Amino acid sequence: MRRSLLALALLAGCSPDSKGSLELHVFNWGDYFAADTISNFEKETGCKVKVDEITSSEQLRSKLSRPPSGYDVAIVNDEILPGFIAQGLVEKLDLSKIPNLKNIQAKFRGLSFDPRNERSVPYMWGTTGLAYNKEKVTPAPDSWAALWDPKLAGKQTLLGDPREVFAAALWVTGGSPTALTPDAIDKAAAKLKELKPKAWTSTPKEQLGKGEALLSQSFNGDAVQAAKDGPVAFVIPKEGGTLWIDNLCIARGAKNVDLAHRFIDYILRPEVSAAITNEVFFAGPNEPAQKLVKKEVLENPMVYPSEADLKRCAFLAEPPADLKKKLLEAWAQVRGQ
Amino acid sequence: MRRRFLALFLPPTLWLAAFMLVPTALVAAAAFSPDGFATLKDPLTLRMLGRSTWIALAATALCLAAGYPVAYFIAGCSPGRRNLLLFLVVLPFWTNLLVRTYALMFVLRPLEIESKVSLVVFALFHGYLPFMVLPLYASIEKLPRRLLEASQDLGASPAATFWKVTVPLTMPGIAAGCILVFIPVLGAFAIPEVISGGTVQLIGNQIDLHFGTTNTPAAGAMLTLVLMAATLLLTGLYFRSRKTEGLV
Repeated sequence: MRRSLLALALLAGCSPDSKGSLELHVFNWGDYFAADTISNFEKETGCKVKVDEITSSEQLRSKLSRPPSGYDVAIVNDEILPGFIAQGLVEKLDLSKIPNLKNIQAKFRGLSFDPRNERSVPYMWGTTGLAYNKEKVTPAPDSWAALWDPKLAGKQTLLGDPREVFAAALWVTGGSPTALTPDAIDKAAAKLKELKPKAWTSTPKEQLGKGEALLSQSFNGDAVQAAKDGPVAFVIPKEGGTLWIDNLCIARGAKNVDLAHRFIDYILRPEVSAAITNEVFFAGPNEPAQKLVKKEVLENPMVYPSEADLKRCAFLAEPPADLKKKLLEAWAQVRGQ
Repeated sequence: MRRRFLALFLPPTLWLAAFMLVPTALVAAAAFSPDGFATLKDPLTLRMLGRSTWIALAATALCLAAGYPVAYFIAGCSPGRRNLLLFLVVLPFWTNLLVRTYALMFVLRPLEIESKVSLVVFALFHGYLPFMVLPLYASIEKLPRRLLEASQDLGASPAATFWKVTVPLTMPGIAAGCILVFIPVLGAFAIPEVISGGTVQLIGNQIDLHFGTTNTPAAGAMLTLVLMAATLLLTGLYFRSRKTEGLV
C-alpha cells in the first residue's frame, strides 16, 4: 500500500527531463525492492525509473500478453514464466551484458523452465502461508481452515491471486492445487463464497502490522516485514504451502533493452541483492550476497524455512487450459458475488 | 460555404469515428460471442448491475442533498465571494482522484466503520460532489429573483416558494448534476477497489477483472455494453425531461 502511494507520487512528480533522458518501466510486485534500490540506480545512470505494482500472476500475464506492454523489466513468477518463454513474451537476454549472473548460486541457475537462463534470471524466492497476530489468534493456526474461522470473519485478508487463493480453498476442501479437477474447483469455489474477507490484497503487511487484520494469506517476506510493526508470525500450514521463485525478465517489445540489461545486472550485484533481502525479507539466490545478509535474517526461519517446512511446499505449475479457464471463471464469480 | 461546413464538420466526425465508433465496434465484436452471451445470462451480471445501480443512486442522492444547499448558498453571495467559493468547490480536482481516495481512507480508518458498502457510498459521494454543485449553481444563479418575489407577494410561504418555484425552475440543473454524478459512479472502479479492499465489486471492477486478470475479454466486453446501454438509457431520459422543461 505504501508502495502504491509511492508509485502515485512518482507518477505525479515525474516530468520530462530537459536532457530527454531515458525512462525505464519496471513491473514489480508490491514492497519488493529496498527503499533505495531504485533511487541508487537512478543516481548512477541518470535515468528515470517508473515502477508499477503487480497484484496477481493473472494481471501480470494479462498485461504482458499483448506486447508492447509498456514495460521494460518485469518480475515474473515461476508459475507463468514457462508459458511466457514458450510464447516469446519475454525477450532473449544478451548474457554478455549481465556479467553478474555468475553471482547466482548454481542450484538457482538454469532452472527447469529456462535451462540456460536465456530469458530469465532468478530474483528472489519464498513461500506462501498464513501470517497471523500472535496475541489475538490463539491457539496459533496450523491449517488453512483458520481463514474460515467465524471468530476471524472480517479480520482476515487473502491474496488477490486466483491460483493462490484457490490453493488455500482446495487444501481445505480435500483437493490439491497440484492435482486440479473440475469437481475440486467447484467445491473450492463454493467454499470461497462463504468468505467475507477484510480485503483481497497481495501486500497485507500494513494491516497486519497495525492489528487491523489478524490473519492473512501472505508471502513469507511480507509477514516478516509486518512483524517489525506488530506481533506477527508466519506458518506454513500442515496441508502445505506454495513455493515460488520470481525472475527478472525483459518484456517483449521493451523500448529500453540496453538499460533493462543494465538494471538486471545492477540487481544481481551482491550489495544490491543483500540490501533487498535485508529490507523486504525475501531470500535471494545471490551467493556473494549471503555474506552481506544480516545474521538475524539468514537465521530467521520465516525467511529461510526449515527443510521440514519446505518439504510441504510445492511450485504451482500451469494447469491444463480448460481447468485454468474454469478456475478463472469461478474466480470472477467469487470476487463479484 | 460548403467548404467551411466541411472544415467544421469533418474533424469532430473523424474524431468520433476513430475514438468512439471504432472502439465500440471492437467491444461489440468481442461481446457478441458465445462467452459474451453466457455472461449476459449469468445471474451474477444482473446482481452486479443491481448493486452498482443502487450504490450509484445512493451516492447521487447524497450529492444532491448536500450539493443543493451549497449551490444555493453560493448563488446568493456577492459576485466576488461567489468566484472564491466556486474556486474552492473545484479545488479538490487539483489532486489526483486516487490520492484523494487514499487520503480519505486514512481519515475514515479511525472511525472503524464495519460496513464496506457504506464506506464505498460515502467515498463516491465525497469524490463526485463537485460535479453536482457546479450545474446546480449555474441553474440556481439564473433563477429570476422576481419570480420568487411574486410567489411571496401572492402569499406563498418560503417553503412553498422553494418547492413550487425554485425546485421546478432549477430542474435542468438537478437533472444535469444527477446525470454527471450517476453515470461515472455507475462505472466507477478505482474508488470501490481502494476503499473496500476489493470486497465490494461494482460492474466496473468486474470489467477490470475480466480484462485485467482472468483474460476473458468477451465477458468484459459484454459487461461494458451493458453499462453503456444503461448510460444511454439514462441520458435519453434526461434529454426527454429537458424537452418538457422548455415550457418555462
